[in-house]
Amino acid sequence: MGANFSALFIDQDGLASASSSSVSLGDLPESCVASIIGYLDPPEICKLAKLNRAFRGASWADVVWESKLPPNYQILVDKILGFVPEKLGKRDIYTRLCRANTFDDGTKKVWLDKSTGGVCLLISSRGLRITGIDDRRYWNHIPTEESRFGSIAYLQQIWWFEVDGEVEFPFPAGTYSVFFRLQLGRASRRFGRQIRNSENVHGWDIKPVRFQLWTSDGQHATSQCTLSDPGEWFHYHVGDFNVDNSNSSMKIKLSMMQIDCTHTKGGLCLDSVVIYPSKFRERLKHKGFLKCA
Amino acid sequence: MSMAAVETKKITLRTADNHEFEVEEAIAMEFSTIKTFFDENPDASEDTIPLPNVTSKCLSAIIEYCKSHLAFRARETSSSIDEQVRTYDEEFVKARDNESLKELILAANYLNIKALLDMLNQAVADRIKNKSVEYVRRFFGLENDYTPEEEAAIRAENEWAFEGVDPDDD
Repeated sequence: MGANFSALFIDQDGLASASSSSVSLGDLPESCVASIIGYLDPPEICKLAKLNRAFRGASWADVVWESKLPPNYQILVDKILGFVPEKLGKRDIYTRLCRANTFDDGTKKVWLDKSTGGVCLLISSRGLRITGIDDRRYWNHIPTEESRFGSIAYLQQIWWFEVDGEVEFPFPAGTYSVFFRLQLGRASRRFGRQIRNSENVHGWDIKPVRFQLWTSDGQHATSQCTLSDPGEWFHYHVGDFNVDNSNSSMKIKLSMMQIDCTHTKGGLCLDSVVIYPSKFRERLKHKGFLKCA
Repeated sequence: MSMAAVETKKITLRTADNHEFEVEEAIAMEFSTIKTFFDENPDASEDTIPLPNVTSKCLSAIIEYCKSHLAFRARETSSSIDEQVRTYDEEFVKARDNESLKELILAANYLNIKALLDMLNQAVADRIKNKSVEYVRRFFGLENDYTPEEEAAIRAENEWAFEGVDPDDD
């Protein structure tokens, strides 16, 4: 007369025979452990893999990493990795996306922030349109370890200071902050030591630099900032933009200019444009890297 | 056996330590395992359902939880109800030591009560967040079952999570 109720329990991950006289969480099935560690951030999940085999197994569970990947990760994989790996587990996809992946002919890098899964994108100085870049009296590319791209653009001096750029990328939904990473003064190595040379820095205290960004869906942000504090790299904040729909690519145009031709300016290193999830602004501020907040 | 004209049908549950609990059908249906059983066997007439993996202490806590959440759900949704639910959940977990949390998770998993299980899992995660590996090992009562070779392999496969690209290593 009807099914046996206890038969329902037999297939629950081997739990049926466990007696609960001495309960140990070590008896938890892997699926349960996966549910718990799913609430932690990736570095912690990987740290706990050291505990025992069940935790290691759980740290590889697709269900854990699915929730860490951005919702449009398939699109990101296509764009960043350029191929769709078959049978790649979600954790492997996450790991790959967390590397500083270079694309667009080496002019851009993009990665997921390990802890938050937020997308970070850089545009190299070689990926930007710099007015006067072809004239060595004005600008030069200089190799350096201080840039993730291995080189920066150094401005000797110029009247018309303008740098433009654009990028089209399927950013996951969220708010992003855009920066230009700049340093006044020129760094070089002499006899194995870093030397910062501010002799050539001039013209920046006369008028501020104007930063702007526009998005393909009509957003616009602008800021004005006087460049200052030679000898340190700073992230000059251009503004923020929102992405509502992560299923389409967002196109962003940026510019930085100081075109008052009554004075020259120079002695500036331009590393890259930096795009981070907005909440990283606090981190940058905290570390003293932020300008033009 | 007719089910007509019974206002609140009660279901009897018997725990591992042989206590019997009579609960309203609505509450028993919160236990997905039991609900599935009755869905698939509508004519079943189990007088008492045995739960050999659940102690009476656990079951009475679980019943309280389900009763309270059913009552919350019966009211209109509003941010003040959400606030009350949050407070209730916090209180439910706060007073319990690690042992009872563990027992509750095993029971909620066994009975398949998703909302309770999610809440408990989050609570355990909060307790182990940012703690050392040793602490978590003690918390779960685990033995390290790796060989030294395996430990080296684990370190290697997890290295990526602790190094490399970091937005603020400028």
